[in-house]
This record gives sequence, structure tokens and C-alpha cells, in this order.
Amino acid sequence: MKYRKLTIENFGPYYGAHVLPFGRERGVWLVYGDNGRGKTTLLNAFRYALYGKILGRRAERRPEELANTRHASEMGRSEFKTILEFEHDGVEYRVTRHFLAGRNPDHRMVVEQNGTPLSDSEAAKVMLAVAPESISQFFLFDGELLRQYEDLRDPNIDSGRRMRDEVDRLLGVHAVENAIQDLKEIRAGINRDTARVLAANARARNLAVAMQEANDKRGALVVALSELKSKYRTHSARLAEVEEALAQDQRARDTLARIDVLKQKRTGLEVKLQSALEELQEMSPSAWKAAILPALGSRLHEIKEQTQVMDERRIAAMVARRTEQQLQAGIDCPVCETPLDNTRREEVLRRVRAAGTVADVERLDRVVSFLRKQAETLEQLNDTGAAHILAEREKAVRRLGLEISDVDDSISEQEEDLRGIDESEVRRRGRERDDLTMLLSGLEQNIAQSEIDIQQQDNAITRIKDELLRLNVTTDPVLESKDRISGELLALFSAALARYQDELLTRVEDEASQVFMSVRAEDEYRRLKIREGYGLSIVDEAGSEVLGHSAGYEHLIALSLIAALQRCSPVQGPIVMDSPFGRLDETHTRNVVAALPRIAEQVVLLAFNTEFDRDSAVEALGDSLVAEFSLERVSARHTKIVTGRL
Amino acid sequence: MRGERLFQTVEEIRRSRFTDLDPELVAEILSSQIQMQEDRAEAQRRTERAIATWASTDAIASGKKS
Repeated sequence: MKYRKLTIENFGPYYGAHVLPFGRERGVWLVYGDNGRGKTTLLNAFRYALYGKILGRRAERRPEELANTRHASEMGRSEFKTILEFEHDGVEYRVTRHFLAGRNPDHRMVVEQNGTPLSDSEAAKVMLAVAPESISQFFLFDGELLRQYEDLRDPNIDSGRRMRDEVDRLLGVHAVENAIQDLKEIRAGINRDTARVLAANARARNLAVAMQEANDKRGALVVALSELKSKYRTHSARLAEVEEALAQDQRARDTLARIDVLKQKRTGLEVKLQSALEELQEMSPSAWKAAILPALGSRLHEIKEQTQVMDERRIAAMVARRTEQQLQAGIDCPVCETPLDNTRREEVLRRVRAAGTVADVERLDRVVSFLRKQAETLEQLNDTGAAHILAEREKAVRRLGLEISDVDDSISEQEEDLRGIDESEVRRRGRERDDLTMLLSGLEQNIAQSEIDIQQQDNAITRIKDELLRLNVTTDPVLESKDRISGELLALFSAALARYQDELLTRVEDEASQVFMSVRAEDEYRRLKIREGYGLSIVDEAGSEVLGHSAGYEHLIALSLIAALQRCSPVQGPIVMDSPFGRLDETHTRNVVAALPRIAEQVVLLAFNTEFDRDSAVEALGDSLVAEFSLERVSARHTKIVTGRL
Repeated sequence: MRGERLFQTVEEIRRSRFTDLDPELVAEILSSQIQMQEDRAEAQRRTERAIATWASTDAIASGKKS
């Protein structure tokens, strides 16, 4: 396929009619546009023109959303039109699609072949043949979705499996598989006809009946297999939808996972708290000690000080009492042994008595004794280890309580993030995905078993045919010829499929490596290595697989694979790329621009004004650059396509 | 030529092992299957029609048709 011209009318921001001409059959067309000017809408204009569909980044969009609002308010109706003119296998086509919004939206498609309009059924058939939608992602792609190619490296995830299936379709593997399947069915029809003819032959009647029976069994198995495959396709499509929705809910799922982890942590803390509370409970008879422990120390200190003071006063009183007794006995001064006259003796006695009487000594004895007992009791309490353990346990309970409170706060924060998201719906989708995965696994087993059963019937039919050959019974020459030709075709395509698939991985690897080497800036990276299922990885100069390379290199690998698939596919066509340089630096962007002419014969690149250096791009593309266009803002609801770069 | 490897693979095997099969018939069926991947019924119809046409010609050529 080669594009000739795209015309769009009132499509998205493109108010009125705009034309993107393709003056040559080979080369690169650059379309520059700032954010919001309509690059992705232009990609969708190609998609709508070819398939009648419009895609957002996450799902299909309703056409009503793409009707130009200025035109709608002026005309009182929401509508748009696309006209794509192209050549395919030497035939000129013009596909006009018109959409008119309303209670019953009106989609119209007119396909002209070499200037002659086709009937609706012919038009539909032609579009299926010239633009197979199942492989559209390899021709119309959004650079921001290139990450999905990384899924090819994981053999277990369904999105990777679906992509491998689409790659097989692009590379023609499915075409050969379909040919084999069709030939088997055609041969079943030939066998039925053969059995009918042989039924009239007395020598072969028994074999004809056996053949008919085997055919009937095979037919029933084929119907059952077809139902299984239909179910598989339905569930597989549903799984794709659910996974797409789940991908959108990724943030919500991450948050839910964090909430689950926090809730588990909370449960663990609650168990610990319960255990700590039980340990605390065991010590409750001693709990009062812990309660008074802080006051106990200071009280003990006070009592000891009081005891010391009282004891000093008691000793002083006792000394005074003994001195009084000595003075009364007529002894001279007991300290300095100076003789005392009566006057002075009376004076000393008065002072000694003031320092402490017998009553004072007895009272102070009692006080000191009481205080010492108190101190002794308090010291016993203060020395109790259980009180310390109790305090520690109380501390543990408080700490666990605080931790639970922190976790509760975190859960509240995460739940705040989930506001507006239906948590139960996200969880339901997760369960649905698991159910579907299991269902599909069961269906795969049933399909495999059905295929074995059908093969057994085919073998039985072959044995009957061999028997008929030995009997030398002839049927109808045309029928025999059909049988021989279809049998040889079946064997031919089966052998070709095996060899083609064997060679395919090596060829894709070689082609992708060539492109990769032309765009990579890291000298140590020497080639790409392919795995079963088209997953690619980088190999360095030492021959080792490079693990954990940058997101930019993932991007380059994806672009190299797309280029390789284009080069290996029997289905050829122009490529329209929207913003493919997202994760690339300046050097790699320039390298990729230079490699564009090698990816496909016609490449339309939709890019930001600042996405790459225009001068070096023009130099790198050389003669391959056919034209440059810019998306010019007139108003929020009006973008113009103008020739050249603004 | 780009994307021709599938046709080449089929033709190489035909030439070495299935010389009775006409290369045009083989290419016609393969082209139909590639073009009509999205319309399985049409692909099978075209394949069946091609075989029927070649079988009639083959039968006449072999002088088997009465």
C-alpha cells in the first residue's frame, strides 16, 4: 500500500477541510505540532479512514468526541469526514468515511476502486484485504505505547502472548496456518464426496461406510473445536479488556496492595499488643507498685534526710542528758575539766537541759525508729524487680499502641488516594482476570485434546483410503485430482510452516540487530538476541546479555523490532508514528530519524517542535525527506495543516 | 525483496518435493490467505475454488475425465 492523499474535514481540532498530500511513493514526511494541536488526532484520522475506529491511549473513543465543536455549533450538527487515497497492488483506491452524530449515529463508507464505487459488501471485503485491522498497530503506532513491546520478553503474561500472536499474523505465520486448516476442511469435503461415490460400488461399500462414519465423527469434532475456539476468542478478548482496565487501575491496585500490606502489619501489631496486654495482666497484683514507683524514690530520699536530721538531734539530746547527769553528780566540766562554782554550774545545766531532755531523747528515739522502719519498707518496695518489668511491659503496650495508630494514619492516607475509585470494582476485575486466565488454560487443554481427536480421525480416513487404493477402486477423476492436489498442498504448507518458523526468529534477530546497530550510541552493545516469542535483549562485546539497561534502550529495542517486522513481513504498508522519541536523548533521536527510511517505504512522523533538532534531522534524512508540515493553531477549536515548518 | 521470504520458502519446498504442484496454484492460495486473513470464509472459498479449477484442468490433461 502507498498513500496518495489524506483529506480530513472537521475532524477534532481540524476545522474545515485539510489535505496531507503524499507526492512520492517513498520517503519520510515530517509533521510538527505542539501539545494539543492534533498530532494524535491526525494519527486517528488515518485510523478512522482505514478502519472506522478512533483510539485513545487506553481504549476506543466514541466518534462523537472527534467532531469539531466549532463546526458543530455553526451547523447545528456534529459530523466529520475523512478521505484516504492510496494504491494497493497496482489498483487505485479512494475511501471516504463520513460520520454524523445523533440518536442513531450514521457511519458511511464509500470505497472507489480505480474510480468505480464498490458495493457495500465488496467495499468491506476490499478493506479487510488491503488493511487488515488485526495488525494495524504495526503501521499506526503511538510512541507512548511502545512499552508494550517489553511484554514480549515475558512468556507468561497474556498481553505478551497476544502481541506474539499479532506478530505471527503480521509475519504471515497465521496465513500458512489458516491455509493448512482450510485444506484440511476442503479435504474433509472431498472425503465426503468420495464416500458417497464409493457407496454405489459393491467392492468398496464397507470401506465407504467406514469412511463416512470417520468423516461424520471428524465433522462433529471440528464443530466442537470451532465452538471451543470461539469461546477461547471471546474469553481472550474479555481478558484483554479486563487487563486494559486493570492497567488503568494500576495506581489503584498499587494503593490497594499497600493498604493490604499495612492491614497485615496492623494485624501483626494487634497480635503483639494482645500478647503484651496479657503479659501485663499477669502482673496486675503488682501493678500498684509500678504506679507508685516514681513517687517512691523521692519519698524514700525525704525520709532518709529526715532520719538523718532526727538522729543527729537524738544524739545531741543524749549527749546533753549525759552531761546533765555528770554536772548533777558534782563533776567538773566534762569537756575541759574546769572546776565550776554553783552559779556557773547552774548556768551550764540550764543550757544543757535546753539542748535536750529525757523526754526529748525518748521521743526522738521513737521518731528515728519509725523513720527507719518506713525507709526500710520503702526500700523493699523500691528494690522490687517486678515493678521494673511491669513498667517495661507498660512501655511496650504504649509503644505498640502508637505503632498501630501510625499504621492507621497511613491506611487513612492511602484510602484518601482511593477516593473516587471503586475499590470493589478494581478487586472484582482482579478476580475476573484470575478466573478468565484459569478458564482459558482449561480451554487450551480441551482444544489441544480436540485437535488430537481430529488427527486420529484423519489417520483413520487415510488408512481407509490406502485400503481403497489396494482394492484399485476408482471414483471420479476430478475428485481424485482434487484429493491428490489438496493432499500435496497440505503436506507442502505443513513443511513450509515448520521451515519458515525455524528461520523466522533468526531473520527477525538479524534485521532488528542491523537497525539497532545503526541507532545505538553505546559502542559496547554489539547486537540483539531474540528469544522464543520475539522478545529481544542486548548483547555486549563480551557476548553477554545486558541486563537492566535504560528505558531509552528499551525504546530503541522496540523501534528496532518494529523495523525488523516490517522488513520480514509479507504485508507491507506505510507507517504513521506519533511521538516515538519519548525516552530518547538527542543522539539516539537523531539516529532513529536517520533510520526511518529503512523502516518502511513511506513513513509519516508526527513530532513535537522540540522533539528533535530539525537541522540535523533534515541532514540525516537527505533526499528521503519528502515534505514538512506544521500544525498551526488558529484557535482552541481550530488547527490548520500548513506546508513547511513554523 | 522485502517480505518475500515466505513465498520463497514455500516455493523452494514445492520445487524440491512437490513438483507436480503448479507454482501458480501454490502462490495463488498463499496470496489469498495473506490478503484475506481477516475474512476466513473468503480465504477458504478462494482456496477451494483454486483447487477445483486446477483439479479440472489436471483431470482433462490426464485424459481421465469422461
